[in-house]
Order: sequence, then structure tokens, then C-alpha cells
Amino acid sequence: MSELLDGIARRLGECADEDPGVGGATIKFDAGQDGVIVIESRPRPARISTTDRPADCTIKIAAPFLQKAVSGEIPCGAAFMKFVRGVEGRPGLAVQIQPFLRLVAAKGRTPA
Amino acid sequence: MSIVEDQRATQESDRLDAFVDKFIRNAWYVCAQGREIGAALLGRSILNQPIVFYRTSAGRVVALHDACPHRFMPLSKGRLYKDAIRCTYHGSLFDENGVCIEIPSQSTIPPKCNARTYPVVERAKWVWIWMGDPAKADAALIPEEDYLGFGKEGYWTVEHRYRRVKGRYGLCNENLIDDTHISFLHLGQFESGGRVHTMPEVSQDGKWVRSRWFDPQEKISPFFRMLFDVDYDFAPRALVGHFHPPATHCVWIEMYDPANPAAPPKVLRVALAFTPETATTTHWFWAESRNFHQQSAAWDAFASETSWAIQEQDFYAIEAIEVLLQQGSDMPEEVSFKADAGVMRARRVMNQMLRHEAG
Repeated sequence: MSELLDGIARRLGECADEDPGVGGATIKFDAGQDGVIVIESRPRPARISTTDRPADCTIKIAAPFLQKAVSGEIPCGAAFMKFVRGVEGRPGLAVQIQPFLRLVAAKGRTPA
Repeated sequence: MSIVEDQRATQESDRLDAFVDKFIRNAWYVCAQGREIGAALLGRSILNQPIVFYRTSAGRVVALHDACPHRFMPLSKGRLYKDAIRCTYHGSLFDENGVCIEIPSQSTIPPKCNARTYPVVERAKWVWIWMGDPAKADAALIPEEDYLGFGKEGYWTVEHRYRRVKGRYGLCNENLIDDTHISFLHLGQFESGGRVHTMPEVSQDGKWVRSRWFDPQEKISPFFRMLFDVDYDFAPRALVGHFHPPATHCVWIEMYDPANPAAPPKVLRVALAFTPETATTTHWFWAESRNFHQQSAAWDAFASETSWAIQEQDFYAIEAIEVLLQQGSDMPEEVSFKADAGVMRARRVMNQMLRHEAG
């Protein structure tokens, strides 16, 4: 687990009381060698972990690019368009999770 | 003119700079998004003409020449007084028909003391203006709002935006008509890079120039899997572009289900209008709609952000070319490829319109 990914997971966790908007699904960000972040949207509050497990949607994106999305450095949608290298499972969940990431960015809770 | 001379003239007029510094005036151009025009005065140059826009208390959009005929102070610097504009320099008052109705320093009004008015039509999200002969301003010439995706049954208009582009509108038009740049300028984002090897079908219907690119088994990028919410590795996909000269485009993507290709496709539809501000700058209007995941805020945001991000890449290219074009005389002669069939056809239509207008 990279320090960067750990920091992103921690900040996502600070917003875990918000609805991730994916209707009970589990989302996984797969950052390759840097590790994974898994968002279990049920039960509430959502559980954010860096322990790998099966997910309804797996989004393959490198940690620095995920950081750009959740920090608001790049609009979340544009970051997904440019930097997501693969989507497995239900692709629509990768869109449905984005408002949650925008919320994290708007709250300014992401690591510098 | 002999045939040889005519061919030479056609080739000359096909050059990129052959039409872009000459405006087609007898045509409808988008001048603003409806939401931009309210009770405040909006000054905007269209085809090198300064125009002031505002909305009357009854909701009607007004377009006047943006210069007080007294000493040419821009009327857009003035203020609205009921439904009339008070010039901020010497206080002359012009009504919504451009007629001067008050000069504070005298009781008589010279007959020439008027501001020219321009025909405007508001359709759905956009306001259209006619800069040429007002007698020829037929609103039926404006592309149908259904066709543009505004209010089209089964479609949801995502968003509409505006940007001033520092490039001539000919470059903007041709960026939209030219499919093969997608494989490079937008590589990996909304297609797999195979487009460059497949020529679009190009056709013409009157002034309309139409192209359709189709791949029966395109590799679907991660972005398209998310955007269209499809779990296909390969699928039939089409990119359709219609150019309505001089400055309106409708482009859409059709994503078919490979297991049931006869079923209606998911469609993402984009309407664009490029209005010359000057010979080298353009007002770029964009609107997007789709027939899937309608009324989903998550898809609205994703479709809007990504479409705009793609257009920013287009702005980058257009503005870089414009800088070079303005540097002057040492440019190489322009070379066109087979894939430019649509662009060349569009240039010919534009030049025919210019010649027709010139009489």
C-alpha cells in the first residue's frame, strides 16, 4: 500500500457518512502495485478499506490520477475519461460513484 | 470562364483562408445562450459587428447595433431604462426598435438618430441572429430544435456551454467535420484509434454535408464503457456528423448492442454552433443530449465534463494553428488527404454560398 493511496483512502473515509450513491454496491479502485481502495456502500456509513476483496465494479486507475480526481485538481469526469485504464463489472457504477468523489473534493479533505 | 479556369478557381477557393475572412451574412448564427441574455446588457461582436443584447420586460430578446449614433459610445456600456437603453455618455434613449426617443440636451430628434436592429429568434437553449438582409431572415431556415437534440422526444439535454475561441471559425468547422483527428488528438479517450483506418461515408443533401463513420466491431474504450454503461469489449459503433453551413453542426454517437444490433442504439448527441466574432476569433456554442440514463445527475456531470474536456483539446489545436496562420507568409502550401473529403465538400458549399451572396 502506497502512502498516497493510504492518504486517499483516509480522506474518503472522512466522508463515509455521506451516501456514495451506488445503491449498496461495492466499488474497488485498483491502483496496481500501489494497492486497492474498496468502498462498501452498505451498511451505512460506508466502509472504506485498503483490503482487497471482490467488488461489483473495479476501476483501474493509478494512484496519482485518482488523487487528481478526488482533490478536484482535474474535474472528476475528465480524470476518469483520461486516466481510467479499465473497468470490470458494472461500468455504470464508475459513473454513479463520481458525485461522491466530487463531494470529497469539494470538502477539501484530500491530502495536499 | 473556361472549365480549366473554373477548376483553378475552385481549387483556389478550397484553400483554408479562402472563405474565413469573408462572412456569409444571409444566414442564422447562434449569438448567445438564452440564459446569457437577461435584464443586463450583453455586448458581443458578431461577424465583426458590435451588438448589444437584452431581454425586454415581456421576455423578448432585442439585438441592436452597439454604438450610439451620436458619438459612438457602446450602448452596452449604458443602462436599461424600462425596455430602452440609456447611453451612458450623453443620455440618449433608444427603444427596443432602436429608435431614439429622447435626447436630454434638445427637444428634437434627428431622423438618422437610430440604432440598427437585427432579427433574432430564440429557440430552446439558443438565440439566433441574422446579420444580413432582414427581408431574407426566414426563421424556417434555422435547424429544427428537435434535430439539434433540444426537446427531441426520448432525449435529455445535458448542458449547454459557451467559450470564445481564439481561432477562425473555418478551423472550428473543419475540426468537427474531420473525423481522423480523433485517433490522435483524442487518442484513447473516446475511441480505440482505429478510426483513422476507416473512411467515413460522405454525402451532400443540398447545403448539408453529412458523414457517417461505422465500425461493426470497434474495441470499446474504458471511457465509453462507463459513459454508455455497456459491458462490451467490442461493439458496432457509428459516428455521424451533419454540417449545416455556415456554422451549425449536429454530431452523434450510436452505440449498438453486439448481441442485438438491430435494437435501437444508445445515442449521445451534440449540437455545436460556431459564430465568427472576428475573422480570427469564434463564439463556440455547445449542447449535449442523450437517450439513455435520462435525468441522471451523475451522467449529466460525467457527460458534460468529459465532452468539454475533449473540446478543450480541440481548442488547443485550433488556437495553435491560428497562431501559426497569423505569423505570416512562410507557410507551406496546404496539402489535403483522402480523408478530407468532407472538409473539401464543406469548403465548396461555403464558397458557393459566398459567391451566391456576392451576386
